[in-house]
Amino acid sequence: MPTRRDFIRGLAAATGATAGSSLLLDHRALAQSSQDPRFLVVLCASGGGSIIDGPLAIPASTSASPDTVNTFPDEWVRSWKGSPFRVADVSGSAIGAIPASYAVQPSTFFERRRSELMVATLTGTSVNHQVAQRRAVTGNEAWMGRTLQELVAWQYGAEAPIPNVHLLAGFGFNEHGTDPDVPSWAGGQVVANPAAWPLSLDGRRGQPHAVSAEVLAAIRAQRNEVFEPATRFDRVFQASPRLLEWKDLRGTPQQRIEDADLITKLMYASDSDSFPLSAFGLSSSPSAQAVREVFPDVDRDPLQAQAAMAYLLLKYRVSVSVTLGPGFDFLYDDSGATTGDLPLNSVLNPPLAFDVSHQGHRAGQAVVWNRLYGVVDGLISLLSAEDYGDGSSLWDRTMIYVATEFGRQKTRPAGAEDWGTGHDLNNGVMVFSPLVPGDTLRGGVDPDTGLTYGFDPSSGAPDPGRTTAEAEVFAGLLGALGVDTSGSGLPDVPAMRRS
Amino acid sequence: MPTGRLPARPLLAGAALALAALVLLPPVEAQPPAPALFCEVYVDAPACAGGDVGCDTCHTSAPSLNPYGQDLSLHLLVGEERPLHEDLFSAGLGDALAAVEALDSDQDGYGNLAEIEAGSEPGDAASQPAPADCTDLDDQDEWDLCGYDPDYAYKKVMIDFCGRSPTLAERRAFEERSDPSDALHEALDLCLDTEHWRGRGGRVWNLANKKIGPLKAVKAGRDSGPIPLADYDDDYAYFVWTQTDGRDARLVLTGQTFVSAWDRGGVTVYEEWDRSPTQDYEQRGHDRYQAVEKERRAGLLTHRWFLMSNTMFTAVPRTTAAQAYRAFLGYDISRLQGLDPVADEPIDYDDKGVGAAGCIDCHSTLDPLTYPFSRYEGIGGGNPQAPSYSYDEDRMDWFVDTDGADVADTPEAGVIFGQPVEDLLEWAQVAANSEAFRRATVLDYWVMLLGEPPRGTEQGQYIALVDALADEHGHSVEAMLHDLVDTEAYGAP
Amino acid sequence: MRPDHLLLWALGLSTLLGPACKTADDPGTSAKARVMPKHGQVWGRDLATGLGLQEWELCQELGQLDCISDAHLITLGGVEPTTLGIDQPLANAAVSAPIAVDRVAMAACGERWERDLAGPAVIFGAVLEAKAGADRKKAREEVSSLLVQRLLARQATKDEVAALVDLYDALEDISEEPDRDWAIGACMMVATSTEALFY
Repeated sequence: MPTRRDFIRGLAAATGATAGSSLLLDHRALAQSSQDPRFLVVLCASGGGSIIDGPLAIPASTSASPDTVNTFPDEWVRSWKGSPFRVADVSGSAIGAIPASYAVQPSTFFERRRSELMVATLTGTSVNHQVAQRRAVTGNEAWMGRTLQELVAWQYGAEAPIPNVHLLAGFGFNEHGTDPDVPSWAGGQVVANPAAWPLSLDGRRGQPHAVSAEVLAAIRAQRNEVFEPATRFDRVFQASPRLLEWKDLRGTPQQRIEDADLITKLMYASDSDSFPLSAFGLSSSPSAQAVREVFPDVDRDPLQAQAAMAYLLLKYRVSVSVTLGPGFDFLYDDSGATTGDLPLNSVLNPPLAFDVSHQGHRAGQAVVWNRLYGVVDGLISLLSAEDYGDGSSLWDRTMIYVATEFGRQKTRPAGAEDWGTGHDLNNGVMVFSPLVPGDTLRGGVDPDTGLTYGFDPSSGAPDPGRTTAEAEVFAGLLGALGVDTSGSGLPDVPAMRRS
Repeated sequence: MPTGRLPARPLLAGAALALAALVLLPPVEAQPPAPALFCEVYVDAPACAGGDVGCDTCHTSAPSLNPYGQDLSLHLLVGEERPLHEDLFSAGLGDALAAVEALDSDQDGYGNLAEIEAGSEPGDAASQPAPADCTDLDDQDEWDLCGYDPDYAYKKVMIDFCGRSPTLAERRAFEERSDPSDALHEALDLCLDTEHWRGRGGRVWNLANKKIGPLKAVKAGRDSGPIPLADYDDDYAYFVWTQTDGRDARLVLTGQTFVSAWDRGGVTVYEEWDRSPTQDYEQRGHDRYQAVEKERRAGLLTHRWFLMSNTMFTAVPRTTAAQAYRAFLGYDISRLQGLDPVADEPIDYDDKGVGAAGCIDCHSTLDPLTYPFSRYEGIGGGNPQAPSYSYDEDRMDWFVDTDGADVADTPEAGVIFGQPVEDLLEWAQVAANSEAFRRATVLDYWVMLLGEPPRGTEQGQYIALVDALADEHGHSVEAMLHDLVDTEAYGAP
Repeated sequence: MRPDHLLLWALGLSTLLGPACKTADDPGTSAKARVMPKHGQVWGRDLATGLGLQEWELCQELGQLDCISDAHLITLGGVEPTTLGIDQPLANAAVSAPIAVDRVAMAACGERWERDLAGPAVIFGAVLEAKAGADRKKAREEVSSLLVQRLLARQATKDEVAALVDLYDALEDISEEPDRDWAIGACMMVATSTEALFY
């Protein structure tokens, strides 16, 4: 509870800030930040990814209520000495009502990547998908409604052509923040079709009736500076925010995009009959082959396409924040022979992603988590191999925040092997990054109830009497990313950053 | 380490500090009585023409405050512990409003009081009082900058409703008409029949996107997805049908028939039909048929898609009620809109903990709003003998195992806008006849055509449309649109 | 904040604070300052009508993807609610939208030029037929007026015609085909002007 003293202290701090150089106009500092950036990947676990079906799996033998709580047979659960994480390798014959067998082995992923994983427990404030998704990226409007993505873009993206890209749309994770002071360039840009999008990043190349770059520049200049100002329409509506925005985009943003040759660098698609790049004078990205080796299904799987684009956006410093995630569409591999039921692991994305748990909790959680682990694994591989230029890798300054809206009900009908679950505020989040303490759990889980509990924000010590608030996770993530939160009033959560 | 610093809003970081601390606590920041109290103080403010002022007067997105809201917060009962109880807030707001009248919260050069009196937003720098007078120095050109401009309105009508700009010949013909108003409305009538406006994928069709929430993965029927559960084409067709040809828009909530959209030579044709669930099952199959008997139907609220995508497997379908409230009445409870608490609610029949502090504020409205939806099956979870998406009076009995014994006591009767209702049919009647419904209906089209909600100075025009929708327009959207294009908001550059 | 955004902000503020409707140099500005963007399909329809093309003839990316209804659908203000969850046009213009618009206009104007070259000409006939000197300038004036008439559905002003004609001077030293590039460029200037894109 803020006291009057807190209030006055906050006001004094703000007054001090304005008495000195204006932070809002301190573009030199922002430019400097952009030379030493951190990168954020928000991987959206849409539908409600349950942490106790992920790295906090509960072996049945550790629970007082193994039959009615969401526990796993001991023999399914893999753990590692000294590690707080336990994951279940799961298989089954159906995903809810979908007669599709599956078998997942997340233990192989955790074998490799748990050293870069921190889990922070969390208890949210909404079980409405859209609302909870938004709160996952605003910390429940903790800092004037600014989103994580906007803040990272603002601090580190002043020089980036498109600082904040959303490869997923329509979810609360993608909503704009509500602080009008966030510069428009730090706002999220939606990319609906990653394969075709690079074609919109150059005004002329690949067009059969193209003019030269020099000619196009002359045409644009004559339009912008002479013809358009001569039109009555342009003068009548000169103060329109929409026209001002449009004209702004025609300036530096457009120049940065075209100068960076993004129509090539971001083109992960291969030259083919269905995508005849070379016939139109275009070519694939120099990184396309490497990306396609890691994400071989880019042409079929929208999530892999997003992941490929996410990597290229970071590699070529186009963006400092990228948001991606599975959609709610059903996606399956129809290449295998079928004799009734769908082949093993042919379901790539169940309908409604994690929310398929309403019908088939265990199967749905297992399949979708496994899908996300694959994306995390691929991105870490690619980013680790990318030399930042100072001896470190691109991965060394990147965070993958696996955002989800809420957990699921912790209980199940006695002994059920699969069942449906509703939404539950109690959960936790995964953060993969060299910027956070690895192989670390902040908080804990009560095996008798399946409920997670919180931790001390300073020491990180688990505290069964405490729950972690959205704003604390939000602040902890910003702290790990080095975002300056002074004046925000956000709590300091040093336990979530690597010392 | 990074050296750049992100700005806290100058002078307002104190409020931000308090706010940030408060969001760690359950109680909400927005104060339901605030809009009405504001208008009790500023009775003649244009923004109060419709009764209560909008939430955006003080909030960006509740609970976040805009600069005016933050100034108010700074001056409101200084020293009192936050969050403020509603009564205390109500008692102190008047003084706080007075204290910030002389400030220019949004720093746009106009004081707060001046902005309130002029109808612009004191918390939004982009919103400023209109010039007191206006001179159009070039009255020979095609622009009338100081009032309604028929030529300008004509071009807008053609683009908005016909989906194309008028040709030069059409513009000349319009300019030559001695009766521009008649010509404008003739053009509108023609455009209201175009595919661009009323066809499949047209503007009215797409207006329903947020209400219906289509998802191809589970679509049945035409262009079906891999798991066909319901066909939202029924919902789109029904929605467009209620909005066109002078029909009563209230049918969207109260109608008891269905509509299909057919492509006839490139023209979308809407056909009303009325079949029993059995007949529809026989005609369209198990994955598309509408399963609610006629006497239990309430427009889109009981359509198969609406129940499938919202109720799903839930006993007490709060999501369904919240979506109905949001989509058709304009109130988003998750944003603390439309709160109208009912005494002694929520009961928490399904043991979801909705009576906890932080939950009770919304659920005392939402839960009684929800009960009338509780007898309609979703995908499953209720009576295994009852078809999915059908009405089953005893539905709640089937959730005892999963939601506790009390769930069987969930009443079908509920409350909407403070008015008790026996069932969903009565709920829908109250909703459809409410001012909220008329406001939401007009606002849908206002935002579609003007790109933003009514500005402060336009509140009077907006409210006139809302009032007329019930009176002379008989709830006809098309009649309302004829009036809308006549407003200064639409037709003055 | 980027310097260009500072300028934008300052410009916006100065115009908003400035006296509306009052200066002698400027016969007036809109106090409401409210415009709407044409959805891509509306803009495309206007472009097709103005250039005498079918909508599907305007622009195909890689010869396969319709620019407006497919490749750049969302960028140009379209919606796709059933699979992408984009149930209303983007609230703000996409950062690549002005580039995409230039790209579509270039394809469409280039297509019109090629077809006029093959004949019969719809728009660029005067330029194609003009021989030299004054005739050529007059031809460009004629085409400029026609472009404004067809794409903006109004008569061109002298200043507008001059602005279009003068593009030729800017191209003479940098273009290998100044007539072609001028035709495409003048067409693009009109087709991608704020008046063509907003209303």
